Amino acid sequence: MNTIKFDSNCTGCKLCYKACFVDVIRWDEKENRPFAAYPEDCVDCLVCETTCPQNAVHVTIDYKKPFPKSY
Amino acid sequence: MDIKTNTIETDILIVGHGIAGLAAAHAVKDEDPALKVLAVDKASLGYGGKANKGGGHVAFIPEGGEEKYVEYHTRNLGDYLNDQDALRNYAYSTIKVMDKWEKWGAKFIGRDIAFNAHPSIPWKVCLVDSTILLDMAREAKKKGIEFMDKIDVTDLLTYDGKVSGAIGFSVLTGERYIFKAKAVILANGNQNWGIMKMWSSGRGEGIGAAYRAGAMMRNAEFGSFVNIVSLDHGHVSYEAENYMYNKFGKKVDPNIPDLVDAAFRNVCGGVDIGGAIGLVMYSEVAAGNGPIYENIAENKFPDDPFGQIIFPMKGQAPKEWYRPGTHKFAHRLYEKAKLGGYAKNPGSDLREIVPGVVGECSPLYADHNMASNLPGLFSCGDISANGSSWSGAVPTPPGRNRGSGLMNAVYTASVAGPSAAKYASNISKVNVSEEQIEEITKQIYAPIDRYDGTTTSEIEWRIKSLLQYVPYSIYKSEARLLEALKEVEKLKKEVAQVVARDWHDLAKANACKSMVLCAEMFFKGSLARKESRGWHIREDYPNRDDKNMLKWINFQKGEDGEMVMSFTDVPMEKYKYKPEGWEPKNSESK
Repeated sequence: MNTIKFDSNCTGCKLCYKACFVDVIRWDEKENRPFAAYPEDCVDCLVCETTCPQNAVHVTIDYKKPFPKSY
Repeated sequence: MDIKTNTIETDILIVGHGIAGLAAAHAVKDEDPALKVLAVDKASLGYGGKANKGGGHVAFIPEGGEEKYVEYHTRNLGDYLNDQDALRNYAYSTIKVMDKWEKWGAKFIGRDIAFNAHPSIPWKVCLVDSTILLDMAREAKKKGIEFMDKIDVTDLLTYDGKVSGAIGFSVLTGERYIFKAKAVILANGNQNWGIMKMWSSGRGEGIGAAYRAGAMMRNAEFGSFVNIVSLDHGHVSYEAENYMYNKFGKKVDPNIPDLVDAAFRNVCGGVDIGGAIGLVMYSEVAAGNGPIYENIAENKFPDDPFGQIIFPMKGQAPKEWYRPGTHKFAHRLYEKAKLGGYAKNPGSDLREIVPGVVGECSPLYADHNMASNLPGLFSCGDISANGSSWSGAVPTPPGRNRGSGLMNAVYTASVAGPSAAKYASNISKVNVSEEQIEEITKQIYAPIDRYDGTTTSEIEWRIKSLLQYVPYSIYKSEARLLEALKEVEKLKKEVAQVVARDWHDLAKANACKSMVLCAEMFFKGSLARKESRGWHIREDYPNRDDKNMLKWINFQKGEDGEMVMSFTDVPMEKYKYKPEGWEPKNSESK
């Protein structure tokens, strides 16, 4: 599965959380920080990365995710 | 279970605030600014749906070209199964829709220098940036339109045969949300199965909700959109069809090859490759020539100046076509996801590709006013792209030509919005049934109360496996469809006992229910359509049958809870363009 990490220069703007359309990234209100709650559902769109104004989000893609049989 | 309940009243409830929902919200307010409009979505405002992860292409029919477009589409794409009146309404509206859309926040790029997107028809395309949803949302808030995020709407509420709201839950807290509304517009997308990554937003939740409430479905069998996916990175390989090689190193012709029944040359979309690409790849593999590879060194799409305009993965589009948001998104996707996939799997320039089933099953029925058969229920966008019948025998986006997805979403929203507003203005009181609310609530939360049952991940994987199997979903036959339906029957039983471990998983449980339902409609419709037409390809019925199959196949929930199928004749008598050799019938079949 993919892994998603957040650098310490995160300013708490919540854009990565909002950008994640598959609900992988959640928001820790107490810490004012994002966390990867459901990395197994990440679809490599990388919109969290490109949306972050601080370049603080890093997705490491697992290229061995299973793909169903086609024929 | 003690669940907090929030009850919210509005005039118009819009389910889904992707591009169709946002456009519908604007359209309602334009029609009647006094109406209270609320749009809810399982994602966050500005980022839901597909519009910010696609190409950002906007198709339109230039003035004077409308009738030529209607004729071409009917003869080559809709394959005579399209509602020609609805298609004509669309063709004559696209310019007006763009004018409205600009007022709703759209910033078109290249509208005055739009390029031709098709070799035969007047079909122009310009662009929008991936920030379009944020721009439209900003304008919507100025009008007083309200939004709620992270809510999974699972069911519609009905009272006295009319739709009077919806019910759902927060994916963050599990809290129940009851929405009372004079009218509901479903704009939460179609069924994409989640096999192809960028199409992971639509799992048919709105289709499921509408079906359970009694709405009619139509043309489910055409949800068979297939693309080409690279097994190295799992994303679409654009233009790979032109650089395909089989295991013997022989180039594969993307057009219908000699391996396939010659009859398919006439039913696979005229000059458009259409669903034939899945058929071509399957035929090569079935003949013992697989796997199929793409020569990634030969495919120059990322370097092509035109490629850099429509999806700028490398380099930079010329100033007049430059889109900062799309540029960043497409570059990152290419550099990291795609090249990263190739680098992780070192090898030659030949990389294995397979047909990637997207589906786009879009069967919610809608009339020319985007109204369903249920009073109070309207729709727009992908959810009813096939059910509205204007596009015919072709999956979403209608016509499967560049830019038709965004235009369909905003055009249908521009119709649904005023229709819903007019309907709502005649409703003085909204009634809901407490008994119905409690019964639906039990069903919504049942998966989280269970300890034993099938997990959402297992059901998802089995459904994906069923649909991605090309001999079931793309190159169909009676024997294979019956096999697929046998698995659907098993899944129906298991999804009734699905378990969810938390609220995120509960949303997946709801998606699983819709996936199984859509699979049942897709395979049953495919079995009933005993011919090949458009993107519906049957090995055992390779010809189009204009004598017996110029019908729309409908599904509705029966009184016993089982799916009931019916047929509606396409009113060919009143349409301008008729298939060669077609003769009027005296009786109407039902």
